[in-house]
This record gives sequence, structure tokens and C-alpha cells, in this order.
Amino acid sequence: MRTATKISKWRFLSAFALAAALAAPAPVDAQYDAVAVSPGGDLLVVVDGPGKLVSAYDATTGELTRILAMDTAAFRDVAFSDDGGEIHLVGRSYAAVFDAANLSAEPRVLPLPTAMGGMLASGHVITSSSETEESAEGDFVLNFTHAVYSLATGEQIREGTGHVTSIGHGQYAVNLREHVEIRDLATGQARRLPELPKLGGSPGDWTRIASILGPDHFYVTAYHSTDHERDFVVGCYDASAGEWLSTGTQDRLAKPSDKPNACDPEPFTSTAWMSDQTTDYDDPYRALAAIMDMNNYAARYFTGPPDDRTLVLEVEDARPRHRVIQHGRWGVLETSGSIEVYDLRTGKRVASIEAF
Amino acid sequence: MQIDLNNYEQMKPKSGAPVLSSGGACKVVGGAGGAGGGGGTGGGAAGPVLNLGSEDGLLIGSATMGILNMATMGDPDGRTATAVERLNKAGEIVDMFQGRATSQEEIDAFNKIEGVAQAVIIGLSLFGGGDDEDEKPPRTPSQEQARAVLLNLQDEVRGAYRAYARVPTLDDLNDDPDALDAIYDRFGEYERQSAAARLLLALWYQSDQDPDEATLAAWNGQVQALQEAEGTEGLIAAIGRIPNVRARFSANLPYLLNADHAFHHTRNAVLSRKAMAYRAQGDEARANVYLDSLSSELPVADAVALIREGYRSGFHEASARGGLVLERYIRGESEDFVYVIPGGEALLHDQAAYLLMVSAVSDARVGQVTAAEQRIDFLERFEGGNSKEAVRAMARYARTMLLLEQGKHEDALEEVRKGVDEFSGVTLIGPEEGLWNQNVMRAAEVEVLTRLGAQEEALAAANRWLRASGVAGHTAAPATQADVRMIVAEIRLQLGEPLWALNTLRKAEVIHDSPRLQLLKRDALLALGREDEARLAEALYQRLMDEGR
Repeated sequence: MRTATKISKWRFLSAFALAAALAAPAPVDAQYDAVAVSPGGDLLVVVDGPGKLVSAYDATTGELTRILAMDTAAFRDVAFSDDGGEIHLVGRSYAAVFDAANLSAEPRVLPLPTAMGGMLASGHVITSSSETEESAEGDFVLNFTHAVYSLATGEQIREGTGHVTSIGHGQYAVNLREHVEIRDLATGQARRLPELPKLGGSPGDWTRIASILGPDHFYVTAYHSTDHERDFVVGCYDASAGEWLSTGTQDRLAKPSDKPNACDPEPFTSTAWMSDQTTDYDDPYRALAAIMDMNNYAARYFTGPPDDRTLVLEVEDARPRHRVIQHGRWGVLETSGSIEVYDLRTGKRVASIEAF
Repeated sequence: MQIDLNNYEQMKPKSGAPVLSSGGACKVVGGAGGAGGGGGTGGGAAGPVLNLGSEDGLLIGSATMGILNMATMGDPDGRTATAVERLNKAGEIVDMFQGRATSQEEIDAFNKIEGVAQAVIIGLSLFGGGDDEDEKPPRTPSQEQARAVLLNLQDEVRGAYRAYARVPTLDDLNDDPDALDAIYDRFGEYERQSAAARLLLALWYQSDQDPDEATLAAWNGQVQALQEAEGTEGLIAAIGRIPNVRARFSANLPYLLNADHAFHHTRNAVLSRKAMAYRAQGDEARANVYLDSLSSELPVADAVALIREGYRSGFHEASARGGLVLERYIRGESEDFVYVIPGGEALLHDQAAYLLMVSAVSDARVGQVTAAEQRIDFLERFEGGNSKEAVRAMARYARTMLLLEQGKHEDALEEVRKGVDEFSGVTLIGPEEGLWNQNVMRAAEVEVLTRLGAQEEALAAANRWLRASGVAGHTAAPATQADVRMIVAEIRLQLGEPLWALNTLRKAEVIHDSPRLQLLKRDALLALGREDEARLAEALYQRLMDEGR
């Protein structure tokens, strides 16, 4: 059975826009669509939004050393392999594997079926797609499916229903109609997350978007649209403890007094995080972006309790930063004219390059 | 006069896709297990092989049929669709099917199909579907020679037209897969004829004098010999090796196929090019002599060339002169005017509005305030074009630039800020590939801020412009992206950020190279103290100039 989201006919257009947003590589005002830094921190790869150029930089000097690829509409994500030896790039209809030590070598190209988008992590790419059908009641129904490919062999190793919104820590999050599953990339073994507290009505009325924060920690946003408004319920689930660490409504998490460090964006009060969180669906670590504070240049580096810690980035000047995103170990701040990459383990800036 | 076609080997063939792509047509085979069909004729290289028995091949076949049907498309009211509408529809179909392509080969195949479809549609627009070959009789024997080639081409266009009119649906194709082979044979022949015509005209254009009959006959002989030896691909490669005409002849095929204008075009184009060359060397006196020697009955096609090339090269006297001629043609609704750009009235008017804007700015640049105001007033009342908003935006842009040239900086800034709000969504429609294609008021905003010395603000405005140009579904033309990036790089140089300027230029370089880009790159490298690399950039600049790009 396919995962379905039921929508009334007259709301079809907005639902269609939602599907497009889910497929969109990045918010409209983003200066780049994806960033990856080599494990050693010496090589930076950026997918440039306007031109869809994939540029490799010497992170130390900030000099552009090679344009790896160019395609006006295709690229969605870029990542290094875990050992740093390969650069993985996924486009609309193919994935490419570059040799990080020899950027001028021809990449290995793997064809993919056309899909809504692709996400990369740990040597895998996941594509999602949707189909619309009209129910007997006259509603339009969006059916989501996904497929998992190995970049090592180019083979499809799994397919399933549901929309995948996050990949990381050897797992991926699948949003099904009435619940969220976390599946192991290698084995496909699934863990079902319990229902978020405080959801009213039927589970099928809610759409869920899950992010993988750590091996056992997951952040879930559920929303329910009515004709005039959209209700949000958010929460952070600790699978090792088997409990929701914090939950909330709208754009804030409640702060449980007995869990001071858990999944809580306070005191990070920037309003920007919410917009990032609700638009950058393809970012596997977007919930961590939510705990980067653009006002205080601080980041919460989350590994799960009790290792949570707050890190203040060593920002050199007080120029306003209008977008903050975390990509795994690396945090990216954007000014109107530049992109800065920080190491979230040390707080130090590892690269600063021009916008676009 | 003999021209050795192999004298230009130092010039590498132009990359990128011209209206007609190089090589033979796509080769198509029949259903699964079917025998191979005919490939492109005329000696062209075989293109990707499509298997109509496969799902992917069928997709491409469907796209082809859809595009070809566009050539005979009428709207529900029975009105014959304009060439612009047909081109747009063909482009939409190609985009739609390209979205489902799963390999670069398939994407290339679609591009080739689109190129052929464009050529056929433009050819039909140029020659019409009726029997009007004799409407414009040749004036000189030399023109007759060229016209004979072109009429052959016309026959081929009509032949292809009739061929796919016989196979209008995919169902028909399924019944008779071999029919598509015949169509592709036609395309191959069309490409060969087209390439021969282009090469002949390129030789003509490249010569400094009007050829006599013997010269034309010699050229024809060489073209024929080359065709027999190397096929269509050889002809196209030969065009690509001729300096200064490569870009013009590959991109402006329909413009040059207008045989009735070819004679005047050749003479006036050579004169105007010489004028621009002397201007580039700083010899304004000789430049103006050549400019003044242009025919007073300047064909409107040459007025267009004067505006476009004069503006781009900074020869604003030439651009202003062309604007005067163009406006006269528009006011008089000259028959000549409708032959400027084959492709439909609306496209023609958009092009005209753009050119009027550009020439008005040139008038302003050379201090001809009255002429500039007259042209802007005319533009504001201009009724043509697909988008009235776009024409109004162009008038606003020209008026802003006039205020700027008059030293009324605050007024210019106020004008441009109103314009950015008012016209933020306006995109010009037309064949121009300059930076004006994207958003004219964003261009004005950056230019005004730069001229006012507000470089940080100008950089932010340019970045907004670049970002807007990359929104999904509205990605700007490559040349536009490259132009905006060059503006960004120039501002970064002014701000003392040479490394970031260099990075930006490297991105622009892979999108669309140009002499100006290489000069900026040289400046960035010099600022970084990298003199060896700067010399390489300068050499590349010289080479691009020699190629006439």
C-alpha cells in the first residue's frame, strides 16, 4: 500500500506547491544549494544556486580551483564519502562520483530515474517521487515513494513507500501517512517512532517531517493545515530512552525542567531557524540548523544527552548573517556577499568564499 | 579570388549549440529487433542511435513528433500560429521530455531535435508557406547565385515540412517506423544545404569587397569540393574556422538567409565593422569616416547590427545612428522592417523595443539629449511587443540612464528605485542574449549605484539580481549569468577583493567566455601579483578579439 496524503480538490494547488517545496533544492533566497567539506577540512565543494555550478575550493586559501560540473537545473546535493576519498554529487537524473584526490579525472556517472530530489550520505543516494490520483470522493491524493541506491555499485538496493526527509548516521527517516519510521541504510530494518503527543484528530490528518539528529535522536515536525491556518507540533525523540524529550507547538519547543539540555533551541530565539526548518526539507541535519543562533553566532552541537554543548563560533566581524545552516560537522553562515564555513567541533572558521 | 578554407586551422571550431547543430541528424532504428534505419545524409557524423522499441527511444520519438507537429500548428480559432508560438511550443516540449531524459546522450538528442525543429520553423517563417519565391527578384547576378542556393534550401525545408506532415502522429509512426527514417534523411539533406549556404555567405561576408561572378563561382566550387570530401560536418567546421564570422553565422542563420538583404548587409556590415575596429584602436576620425560612408539607405538589418554591436563595443555613435534608422523604419512601417528578424511580429517588436532602448542610451552617452528624449518618448508610446510592461520598463531604464548621463544622480537613483519596485518581475522577451534579458531594472539599479560610488550596495544589488536569475524555472540565459557575474567581479575588484573577483570570473568563464571577462581576469590576477597567469589571460583576450567574439 502506498503512503497517501489526502487533500480536498480546491486545496490541490497548495498541496502541489507543497510537493514542489519538498522537491525544491533550497529556499529561493539561498546563495547555494549544498555545501560539503572534506573530513580534513582542506577542500570545500559548493553547489551554486543561480548557475547550478559545482565548484571546488581550496578551503585554506578560499581560491576556486576547479568547476566540477555545470547544469542549469539539475544538482541537488553534494557530500564527501566517509573516508574523504570521493565527492558524491546527485542531480535530477544521475549521480556522479569524483575522485577527491584528482578532481580533473572524469567522474563515474550513475543514471537515476527522474525523481523529486536526491539526498546523499554514507555512500548512498535516496530519491523520492510522488504521484497524484483522484479518490472516489473527489479528493486528490499524493502518493509518495522512495528508492535507495548504492553509489558503490549504482544498484537500487531498496524501495518503499513514504517520503524521505532526512539521511544520516547510517539511517534515513521515512514519513508515512500516520507515523514516522527510521530505517537502517544497510539493512533496511525499521524503527517506528511513537505518535507525537498533543496531536489532535486523526493521525492521518497530520503531515510529518522527521530529521535525524543522532543515532538515537530524531526531531519531528508535524503539521495540519486547515482552510485558514496551519498547526504545528514539534518534538525531539530519544530512542535510547524511549521517550519524547521535549515537545511543543507552533515554532517553539517547550522546555522541560528536568531535561535542560535536550533538543531545546532555547535560548536561541532567532526567528530565522523556523523558516529554515520549514523550507529546507532535504537537509538531513536541518534540525541542527535550528539550533544555530544567527544572533549570537553560537551553535548547539548535538550528540544526544549528556554530550550536548553550546559552541560559540569564532566570527571575525559583526556583519549581519541572514542564513545559517548546519551540514554535518560544518556550519555555514551567509552574509549578503559571502559564505563562511565553520567547524562545529572547534568553532573556528575553515573557509570564507564569495557568494555565488 | 581564391580563399583557402584550410588557412584557419588555428581557430578551433565554435563550441556550444548553434541553431543548427553540427553533424548528421539523429539516426533512428525501428521497433525492438528491427532493422537499422537511414542515418543523416550528406556525410554528417551519426548522432545518437535511438531505439523506438525502448521506452526511452519512444519518448524521444514522441517528442520529435510533437515538435514537428508544431510546425503546422494552428490554434483552436483556426488562426495560424506565429513562428514565435511554434518555437515556444517546441521548446516547451523539448524541456518536458528532457526532464525525463536519463542520460547525456538523450539530452543531446533532444537538443539536436530542437535545433532542427527551430531551423525548420524559422525557415518556414522566412520563406512562408506559399508560392512567393518570386516576390523579391534578384538584383544582381551574384545575388542570383546565392539565391539559387537558398531556394534549394527552401525546397528542402518544404520537403521536410511535407514529409512530417505525412507522419503527424505517433500512431502513424508505430505503423510505419521507416517513415521516420525518411524524415531524418530530409533533415540530413537540409543540414547539408544549410551548411553550404552558410559557408558561401560566410566567405562573402569575410571578403572586403563585393564578389564578382567568377569569385562566387570559385567559392561555390570550393564549397562543393569540401562537401564531397568531408560532408556536412566539414562544411560546418570550415565556417567555424573563419575568423570574425563564426558567432554571427552560426547564431544568425535566418538573419543572413535573407538573400535580398545579403548584398547590402555585406557591404554595410564590412564598413561598420571597420568603423568599429578603428574605434577600438582609438582612431575615432577614421571610424567616423567609415560610419559616414554607410549607405543612407541603410538596410534595417544593418541598423540593427549597428545598434547591437555599437552598444556592446562602446561605439555609441554607431548605436545612436542605427537607432535613428530603426525608428524611421518603425514609423514608416517599411516592408523592409518585417524582414529584419524572421520569427513573428511580436518577437520582432520586442526586439525593436530593446534596440530603441539601447540606442537611446547611446544617444545619452554621446550627449545627444534631444535625440535620446525623442527616442524614449517614442518607446513610451510604443504599442508593439509581447509585454507592454517590458516595453515600459525599457523606457524607464533609458530615462534613468539619461538622468545619470546628465549628472542628475539623485533623480536617477529615485527613478531606478521606483522602477525596481514597479517592474521587479519584468523579464524582457527576445532573442538578445545580453544582460538585459533578465531584468532591466535590476541592471539599472546596479549601474546607478556603481556610478554613484556605492559599491557595497551595488554588490548586494547585483547578488540579488544573480539570485533572482537562478530561481527554478527562470534560470537566465548563460550569457546573462556570465554578464552579471562579470559585473559582480568588477565591483569586487573596486572593493579590493581580487581573489573573490577571480573566483567569480572563473565561474563566469565556464558559462560564457568573452574578451571583457579575460581582461577582468587579467586585472584580478595582477592585483594578486600573479603576473604569469595575467599574461595568459591577456593572450586569451587577444585571441577572443581576433575571433570576433
